[in-house]
Amino acid sequence: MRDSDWDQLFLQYIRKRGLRDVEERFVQHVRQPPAPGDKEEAAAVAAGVEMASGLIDDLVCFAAGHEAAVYGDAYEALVGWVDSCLDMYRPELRRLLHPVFVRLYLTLVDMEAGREAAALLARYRARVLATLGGMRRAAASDLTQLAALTSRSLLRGSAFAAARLGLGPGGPAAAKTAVALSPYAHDLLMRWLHTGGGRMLPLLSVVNSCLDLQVLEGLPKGAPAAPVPDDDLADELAGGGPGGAGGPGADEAGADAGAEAAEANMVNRTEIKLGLLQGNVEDMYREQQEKHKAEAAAAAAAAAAAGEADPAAADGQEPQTKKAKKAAEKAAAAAAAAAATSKSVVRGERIEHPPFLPKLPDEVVSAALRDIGLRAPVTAAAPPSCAFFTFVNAKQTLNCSTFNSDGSKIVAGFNDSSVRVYDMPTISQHHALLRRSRRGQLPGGGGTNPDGTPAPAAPSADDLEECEPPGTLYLHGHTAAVHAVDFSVDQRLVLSGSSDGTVRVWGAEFGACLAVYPGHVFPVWDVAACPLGHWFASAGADRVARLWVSERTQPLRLLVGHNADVDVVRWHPNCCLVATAAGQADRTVRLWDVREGKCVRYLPCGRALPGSPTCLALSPDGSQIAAGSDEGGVTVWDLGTARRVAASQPSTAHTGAVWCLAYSQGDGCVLASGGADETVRLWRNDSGEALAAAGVAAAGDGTGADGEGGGAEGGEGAADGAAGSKEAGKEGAKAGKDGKEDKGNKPEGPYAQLGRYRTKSSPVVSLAFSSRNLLLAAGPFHRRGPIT
Amino acid sequence: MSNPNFITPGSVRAIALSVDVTYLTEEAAKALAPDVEYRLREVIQDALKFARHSKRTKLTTQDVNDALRLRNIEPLYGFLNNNDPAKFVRATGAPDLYFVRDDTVPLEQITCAPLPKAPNATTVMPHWLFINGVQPQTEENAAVDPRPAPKRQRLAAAAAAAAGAGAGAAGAGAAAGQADAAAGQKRKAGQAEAAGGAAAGAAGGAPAGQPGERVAMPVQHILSDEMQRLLQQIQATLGSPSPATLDAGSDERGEGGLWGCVLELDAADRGAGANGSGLLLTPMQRAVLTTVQRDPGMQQLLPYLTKHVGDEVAGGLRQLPRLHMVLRLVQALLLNPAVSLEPYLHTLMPPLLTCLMAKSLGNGPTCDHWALRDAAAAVVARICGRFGEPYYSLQVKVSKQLLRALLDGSKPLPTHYGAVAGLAALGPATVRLLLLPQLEPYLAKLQPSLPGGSLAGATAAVAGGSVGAPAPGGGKEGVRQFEATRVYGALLQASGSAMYDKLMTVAADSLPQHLFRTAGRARRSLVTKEEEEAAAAARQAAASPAVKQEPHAPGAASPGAVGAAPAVAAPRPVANPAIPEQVAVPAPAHSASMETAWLKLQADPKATQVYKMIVANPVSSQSLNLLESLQQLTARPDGRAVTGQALLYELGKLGIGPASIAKQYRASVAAAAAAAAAAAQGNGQLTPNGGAQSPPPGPAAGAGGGMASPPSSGLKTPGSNGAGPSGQAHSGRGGRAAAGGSGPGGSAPGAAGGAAGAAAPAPRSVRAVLAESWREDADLGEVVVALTTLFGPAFLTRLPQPPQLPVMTL
Repeated sequence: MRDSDWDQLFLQYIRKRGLRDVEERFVQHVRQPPAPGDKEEAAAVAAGVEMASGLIDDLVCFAAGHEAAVYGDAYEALVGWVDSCLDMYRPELRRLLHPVFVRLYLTLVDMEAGREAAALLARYRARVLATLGGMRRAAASDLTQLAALTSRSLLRGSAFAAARLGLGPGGPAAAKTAVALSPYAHDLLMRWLHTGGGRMLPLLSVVNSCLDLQVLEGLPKGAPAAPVPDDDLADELAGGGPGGAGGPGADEAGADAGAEAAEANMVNRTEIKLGLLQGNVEDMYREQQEKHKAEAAAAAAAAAAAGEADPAAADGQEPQTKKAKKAAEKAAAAAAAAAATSKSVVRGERIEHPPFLPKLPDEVVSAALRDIGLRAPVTAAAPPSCAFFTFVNAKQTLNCSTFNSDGSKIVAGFNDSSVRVYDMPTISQHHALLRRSRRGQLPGGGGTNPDGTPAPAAPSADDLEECEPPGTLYLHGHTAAVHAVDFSVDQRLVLSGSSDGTVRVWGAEFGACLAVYPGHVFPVWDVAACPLGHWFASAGADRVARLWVSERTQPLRLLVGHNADVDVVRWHPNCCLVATAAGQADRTVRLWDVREGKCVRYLPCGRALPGSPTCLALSPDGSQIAAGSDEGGVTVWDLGTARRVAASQPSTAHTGAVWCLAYSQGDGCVLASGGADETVRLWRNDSGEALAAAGVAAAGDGTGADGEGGGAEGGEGAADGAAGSKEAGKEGAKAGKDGKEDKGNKPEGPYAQLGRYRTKSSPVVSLAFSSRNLLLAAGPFHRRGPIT
Repeated sequence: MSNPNFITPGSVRAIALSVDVTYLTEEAAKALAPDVEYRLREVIQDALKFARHSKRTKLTTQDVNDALRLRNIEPLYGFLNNNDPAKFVRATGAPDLYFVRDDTVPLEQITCAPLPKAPNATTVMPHWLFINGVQPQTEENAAVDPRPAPKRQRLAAAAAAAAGAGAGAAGAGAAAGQADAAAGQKRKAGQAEAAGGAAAGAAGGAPAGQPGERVAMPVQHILSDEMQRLLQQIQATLGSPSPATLDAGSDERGEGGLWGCVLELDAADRGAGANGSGLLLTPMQRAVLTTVQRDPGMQQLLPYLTKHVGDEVAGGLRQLPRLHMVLRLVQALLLNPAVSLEPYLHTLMPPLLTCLMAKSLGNGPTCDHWALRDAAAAVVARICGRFGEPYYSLQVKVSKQLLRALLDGSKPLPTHYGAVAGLAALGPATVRLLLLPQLEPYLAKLQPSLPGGSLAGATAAVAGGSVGAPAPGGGKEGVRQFEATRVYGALLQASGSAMYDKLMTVAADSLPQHLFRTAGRARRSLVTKEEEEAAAAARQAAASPAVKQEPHAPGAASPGAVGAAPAVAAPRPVANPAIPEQVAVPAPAHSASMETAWLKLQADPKATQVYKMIVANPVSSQSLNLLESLQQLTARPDGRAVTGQALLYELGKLGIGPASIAKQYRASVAAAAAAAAAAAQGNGQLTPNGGAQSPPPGPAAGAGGGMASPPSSGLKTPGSNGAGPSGQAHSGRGGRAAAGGSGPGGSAPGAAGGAAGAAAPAPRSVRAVLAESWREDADLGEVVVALTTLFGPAFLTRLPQPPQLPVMTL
């Protein structure tokens, strides 16, 4: 602000107060050029003016006059500025918004501008709910109180307003909210306020009157001494879900029951259906098995009956034949009953197949059923095996990779804008050939025929190494680095998202681009194909996640709400929900309803998950979501209650960014994570284990009942079932023991670490469980040690 | 509060200056600085996003360019793929401002640069990271943290291994397990497991490394039942000495026989040698050794067998039969074509070297540990030979160790013997390179210990074959003397065979002359123009009798016999290979008088006809007769002698000469080396007449037994031209009186006289000569002389005897 502005302001003020003498003197002072000697004096005066901030406030308020609209505009400008600010400082600056808003609202009401105040309030509330998915309890109560204050008279009588306006017992100082800012954020704010000219004056006054800006040295995040208010928000939100009756947050929730009346956590109170779809593959398989078992049991019973009948027939005694018939009937009935009970044991609720989702193709279903039959059981007691695929000569250009369901193909996206499909059987064959030729060279020396002529040369190792290795399919089309790839459910299509802002679909078999989806303007960070096909989701740097149907080049839904780049997008197993995560300024994981495109779960990372989320994984039963962050943390939430289930302890967490997460197939008993610290870690999912144990027990009970009902020959099933449940019990006991024993170095809790496996020198870029529960991992080889 | 900005107005001004903006005001700089910083931060923030989504933790220039493109800013060209770290330069005038020097690169330089090599194709290599939650310790996986486990844990592991062994398996497995448990302090549990065989399971499955990290130790070595039993059988059969071999241990001859059968293991099934009286292997042992040698599955047992070898040697130093058995085992393993010993060499070599060089082997100094050492030397040499190719440093290391042991005066004599034997077994080249240079000082040190305190005594002892047993009535002194004699004998044997080898090689290669510089030098220095004729005559004269006498020369006198050799050896070899051997003679030295005589003769048609006839077909009987008659002609006292001489001279230029002389030439060529040796003795005591023959001082004496080079002192007295003594018959006939009336048939004196001259011109010390003996172009004559000086005449018996040499030249 220039001196002349100040002069004008001052003059106006003096005139208004009717201080004629002062006005004359002032005009005189302004008109005469400042004497050289006066400079110091002026400086002193300026200093004095600075000190008497009250006077300046008055001045500023006065200057703003009664233009209520200016306030609204200024606030909008502030919000806009904060949203476009550097990611790093945005969370800090966003903390200013609430106190400023409260003060502005009160000021507006004080100015008898009720309409503007109401508009401001409505806009604010809408924005907060849209972008944050809820608000802190304190903020919500503030809003309810503010909404009640609509006129100056009410304002005067309200203690709340008095306190906020600095009229309360504590004086103006008590009205100030302390906000900690890092030096550069403070600098940015000040510069922005000062360069805004007269428009910013009301804002300046508000900031001066309601904020106590504390500048703390250091980076914005690393200040544990001063608790960051935003994290409280996260914790409160986490504790305030609809299922608040249980868990550690219960007391808190009860205490704040009144405040909950506000819209706090509104989003997380949305009812969502997390159950799997009816007729999903797992259920189909289970049904099949039960059918087989029932049939077998019936057959056995019939056979038994027949066996009983046979000797009876030989004796020629009718009553016994009757008995046998009865027994057969009984057995059949019991089998049917058993089948019915086991059907009722189906875990969790199932939701109807929504009409907009396609059915799985038959060949996919049959393949999946076959794979489930061959699936290795993966539990904490029987950890999985992991095949690691090392990308050599990648030279830091590998961005992403993914596997098809049996791990025979790997798709990788590279920085050089190519997508490559590696066919592992071919490549393995080639490597075997290489190895053989290398070994063959040693004993052979110069291989010569008996007659002395050199033997017909097999391709030498050098030649083989020189030539382009077979089994690699290059998909060229993107014009910038490819950041995400995914296989469609039938493994025939490959989706890729690139920095050039497009999503492309390729035919994995013949290597041609089938479609381009140019919806994003900014880089696409992630792409995920729907587990049922036909749909896919993408997320990008434009802070929006999009839902697409493969037959249209425009997105069907925009999932808007994240405050920063949406980094990850994943489908819920029931395909009706999509999970996204955004980092940096946002640091939230959200769940969206596909039908309405609305946010249904808002899971702030808070302190439990330091850093920004980098990857997501949803448990196969759809009840939990795990997120890994770029600072090595892994956190799991329960989606139904929006409550945090577990968070990795610093002692066991990754020491670098977590790049990938994967739940094991089936019950999801094991969660695998891999990251930049070149390790793959396994975590025990107790809820999955419980599910598995329940399943086994249920099966055991069912067959046990069957055996009882069947009478005579209990059947193999019963024995199996009994053994199974016994074993399960043992395993459970063993697991418990393990937990006790490992107390020293393993954290207690629902997600205890099972193991840590280092790769030689490869950060783990992708992880997946194959359909038969082999853990597949991939990463580029870096010669120079771990990158941390 | 410090200024949070990194870009200061000063920086902005400096940057402005760098792009030639000199009118930037203070205010503008102040306004620009924060804005520039903000933009920078934005770009960095976006670039980091790109790096993060590329799953990298390193920011690259590509990321920055992507970030710039994202904001529709033109990217920076020229920084891609540039791995050189940017060089920052301090901006002048601004204390804390640095910038990257932006060099101007001509475009042609980039466009015309050769294309870089195409990078290797990115490909995928699969491997198992872990299997059922346990990480296999393979090449592709990260190495286990080498940090040792805490002590308590290690003790527990050792105890567990021991317990496992006790509870677990029988026999060898358990024993090994316990041994390892005892050694558990030093080793990792995993290794114990490997050796512990059956006891493995206990320690093996335990997670190692850091807590939470589950890593399988690499060595879960599973042996099939059959293999385990075979191993036990081998260890039982070879490990405990059978009564037969125990008996053999007390019997030296038996020991020799034992080793003989080890060496014959190759031919074990041929049975001839094996069934002989010397063989003391039980049939069982023989069968086992044959198995070890033949069975292709032996690789499986290698770790255990090498361990067995180590244990046996460590535990059986007093029992020679056990050690012999160990050597046999190793030998059998070496012979097995299906076994690759390479990975176990490092564990095999120390026990072998122990067998070779241990301070005391067997019970007491009287037993025949020498045979064991010899055998060990053979095995070591064999290993070095077989694995020398891939592990070129193996032989170097071994020979270095041997040499060090030899030179270490504090080591006992048996060790020295082992070292010498080992070096000798490593081959003549090694001996020449390593042993010979050390010979002189070593012998000097050894001398006091020898019987009689002198080399001569030792020579006598060695020659007398009394090495088989310690000197009777020895006591400590006697043992030492005996040992010293053995060492002396070994040295003699080693250097002798080294020279023998060399001489035979050289003889086979038809004697490159440079190898006999000594003789040549002597000759060159003595020949003078005036004496040419005499020389030529003397040459013929001297050579023939010497050679003629060879067969008669008794062993001890052989120096004399061969002494003639250098004389004839010196001339250039036959120039024309087309000349048949019967008539091949050395080309004569240039002689002016002969040239003139020949010029005169050319006028004589008869002479030219004879000449032409002979040249046309030197081998025809007529030519041979002609040559012989010419030869006789030269002996005539009248003037025709000159005619004959001239003709012969001219023919000699073509390499043609009378058959008798050619024969002598061949023989003398072969005997050259020995002659050189004899020459050295010319100075010595063995040639009583030498002094009279040729005056001792200097070159004058070097009449070179038949080299036909007159001594320089005798230039004026033709009579004294030294062809004399040995060839006195001829020279007498030739009228050139030999000065010295040497003893009839006294080949030795003559040779000695000549040789003295040969050695004299280059008085190099024995040590210096030997130090260079390894060189390809070393003067063999000198070396032989030097060695003979050291060892005495007995050395010469080790050299190839002259009759052998002509055969070689064929």
